[in-house]
Amino acid sequence: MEVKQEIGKVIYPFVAFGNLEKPKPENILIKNATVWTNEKEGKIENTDVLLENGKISKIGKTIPTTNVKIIDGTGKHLTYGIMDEHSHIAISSGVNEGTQSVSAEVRVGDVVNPDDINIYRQLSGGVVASQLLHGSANCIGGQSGFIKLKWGSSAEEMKVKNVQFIKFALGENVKQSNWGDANVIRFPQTRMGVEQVMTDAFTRAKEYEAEWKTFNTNKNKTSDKIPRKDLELDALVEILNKKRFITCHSYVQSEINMLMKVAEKFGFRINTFTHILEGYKLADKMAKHGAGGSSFSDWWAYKMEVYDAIPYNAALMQKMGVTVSINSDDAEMARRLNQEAAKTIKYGNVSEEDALKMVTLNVAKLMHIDDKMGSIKVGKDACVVLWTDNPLSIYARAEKTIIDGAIYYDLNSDETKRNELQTERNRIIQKMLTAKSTGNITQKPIAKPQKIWHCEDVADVFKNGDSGE
Amino acid sequence: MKKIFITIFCFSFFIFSQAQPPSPVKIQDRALLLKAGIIHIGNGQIIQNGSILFENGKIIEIGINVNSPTNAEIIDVNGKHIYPGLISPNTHLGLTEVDAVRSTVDYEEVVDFQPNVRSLIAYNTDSEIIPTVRSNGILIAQPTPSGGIISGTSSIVQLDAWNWEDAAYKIDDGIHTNFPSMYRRAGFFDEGSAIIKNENRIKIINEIDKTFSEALAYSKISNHDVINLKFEAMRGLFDGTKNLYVHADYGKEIIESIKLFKSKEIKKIVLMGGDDAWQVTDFLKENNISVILSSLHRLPTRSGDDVDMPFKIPALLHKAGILVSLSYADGRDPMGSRNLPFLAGTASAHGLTKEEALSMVTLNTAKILGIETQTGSLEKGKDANIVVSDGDILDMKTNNITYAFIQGRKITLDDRNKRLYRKFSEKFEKKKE
Repeated sequence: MEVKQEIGKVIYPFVAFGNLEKPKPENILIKNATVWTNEKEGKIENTDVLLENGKISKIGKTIPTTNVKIIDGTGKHLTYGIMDEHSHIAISSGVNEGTQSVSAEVRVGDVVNPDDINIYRQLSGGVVASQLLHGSANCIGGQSGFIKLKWGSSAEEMKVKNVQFIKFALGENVKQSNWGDANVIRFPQTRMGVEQVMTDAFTRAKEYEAEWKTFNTNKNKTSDKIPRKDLELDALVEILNKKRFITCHSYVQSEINMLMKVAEKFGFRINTFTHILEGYKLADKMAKHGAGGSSFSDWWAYKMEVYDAIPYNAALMQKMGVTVSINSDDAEMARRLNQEAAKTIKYGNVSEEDALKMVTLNVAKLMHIDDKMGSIKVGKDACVVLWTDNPLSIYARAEKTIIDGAIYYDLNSDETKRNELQTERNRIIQKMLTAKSTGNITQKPIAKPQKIWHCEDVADVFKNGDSGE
Repeated sequence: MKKIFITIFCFSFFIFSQAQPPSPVKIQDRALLLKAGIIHIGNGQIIQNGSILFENGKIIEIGINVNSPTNAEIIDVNGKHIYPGLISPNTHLGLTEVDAVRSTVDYEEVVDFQPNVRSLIAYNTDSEIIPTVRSNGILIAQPTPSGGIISGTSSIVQLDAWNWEDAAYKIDDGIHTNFPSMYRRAGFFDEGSAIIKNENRIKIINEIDKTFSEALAYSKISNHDVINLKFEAMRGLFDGTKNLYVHADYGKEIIESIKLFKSKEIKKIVLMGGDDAWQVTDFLKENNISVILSSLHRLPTRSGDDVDMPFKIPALLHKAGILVSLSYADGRDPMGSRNLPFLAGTASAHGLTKEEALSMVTLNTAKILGIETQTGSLEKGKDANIVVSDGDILDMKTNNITYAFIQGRKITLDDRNKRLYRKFSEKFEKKKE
């Protein structure tokens, strides 16, 4: 007897809450919403916004409604999509090349995992893009990846090209302060050593650059004269030539000041200090140097270098002219990043619009993509979020999250997805029960839960070693 | 002109020296009337444009027209919100200062069965974290031991005291036990590690069974020749003077643990954590079990869980008629516990009214911890544990605590974070001159 083979539908990605069809860009007209432009117009009420061909094409009152999908924004709020400057989601197999202090050649972009359910969860929190960072185990970590959270797309489709950043780190993590008694050998073990690692790295990079320049301009090139290609130094040379920008995990004022001086000595600038919890102590110097600050909202006290951290950090840095963003470094906070931004209203009286900019426009500025993202302005990428309430309020829910004109999260279709998930789960269980009862071989289920990465995780280093748990 | 400057200078110095560190004030020496506020009682009721009178640390009167004695201090709050002080259960507040620095950590002993270790006497009233938590409206906390199978005995403290003796609000309120998980990770750090059955589980459950049986037998006799300190500590579980706080998350573990402890004649059982409590509401209701949930600001337990998990768990439990309280446990506690009001805000955003959510960090918590006759709501006869907020206390956008009273004493709302903010604000202001 032939048994009809019944196969489940393929969804994109092939995990819970995947899409039956990959979301397609549509022409969308959001009508009559309160629009938080992030431009000089500020917050404008009863306004329509038209999205066409993946871009914001019109902003105004009563835009014509032919050939568009209409979304009623009455009583609702439209903002640019939230962007997370410091994220470790969607990364497979480890976030730290925690072996040597300088590992500039490694790339997070090579290990993006587009199937991470946290992408979907963050879409439901209004996040449209994240900078995926190497961890903080090393002074010079690895090149970052910047993705738009296009749930259902491949890793390559998610990655935004021409965003060239690299993760640096300072402080307790790079000097292995909290990794136990076995980890006291690798240089640096003090903040003094950190400065020397940085200085040495850029000194080598300068020499390497000069070596190649000499070779390239040499009229008599022979293969025996060719310098050794070094991917690590290549990345550092990009920094020297302002082709790659640094986001540096940092806490205390001494090390922040140190790194700015090292950069100035070698003729470049630190683009962003991330975490930067003592940034408020030298915000004036940061502003003068031209560094941005990407801060936690209110974490402190869990290790020594954050004992002077204050939740007023973002407000104070901003007051002194530093471009400030609020980041997550945490998959849980990232899906409530609007609320974390709202904390700057409470701690430091930042205005609502400025608080929103800390998770939208300011991130775009820090990432050098504010020509394309960050504010509701004609010509920018159509990455917007429709909220049920004031986006800075704890009561607000993201109703629709749109990226490049395609709807990637919809509160209503999320409901449908839940039912589909339940149905599919039941179907598979029934199939397994049927198979067992007809005598097929069974195996015990093995659950492999996903690892949630944080800055300091060094899973693969300790996998077969004698240190660690 | 110079005289005025000196006076102002000395006055400022006085203010700052008072604030270093926040010093508990004397016992309430004068009656105090807070008038013209929106009073949130804590039990669901709101009084618009209400007043509250308290004297000798107790609430005397609440209502629309409240007369105050002639010598009373009167504070007109001008339409701002008046709330009961929030209560933070299952926290390490005062038991650790900097988690990464081992010498400051006092919440986890090394022995598996240690009901007799007590958090109260390790509680540090001078932790810099405590004032930051008060600044957001939390006035009472339950410093709680962790680790092992039976972690120890918690107590409840009020957050304005010179020493743990003065801080004690309810001494040795209960014993905490961590029920062994059915599953564990194969390798701790490795991404590819599988979830496998916890082979030690049956062994541990048998030990728990044996320990509680022996403790029960021990408690039947009032005077033993040979004292067993552990069993002495457990007496209260059998006569109802101590709660048994059962920490369990997985649905089956919740059922199994509570059944086991009920069979040992434990009078009062409370479920702590309860990540899966929403799956076993019938069981919890039947057995009259209250729940203190772990931090709602966490990721959903399973990858296929709804995206509004765990935010809607309080609403699910509330609808099933279960008494629910919120804690910041398993979040970035204790420094993050100042976000407790916002856990209630999240709960309110997912299926509860604001007043229902407020109860889950005030009156419900008081009921579960056994301190509802003293606090948890703004009612006549209860302790004057009161906070005033400019706006809705549950939303970070509007939470701003301007006054706080513990047992009627007006407490300073200064803290380490604020001091550093002032110090560097002034530095930059002066630079401009």
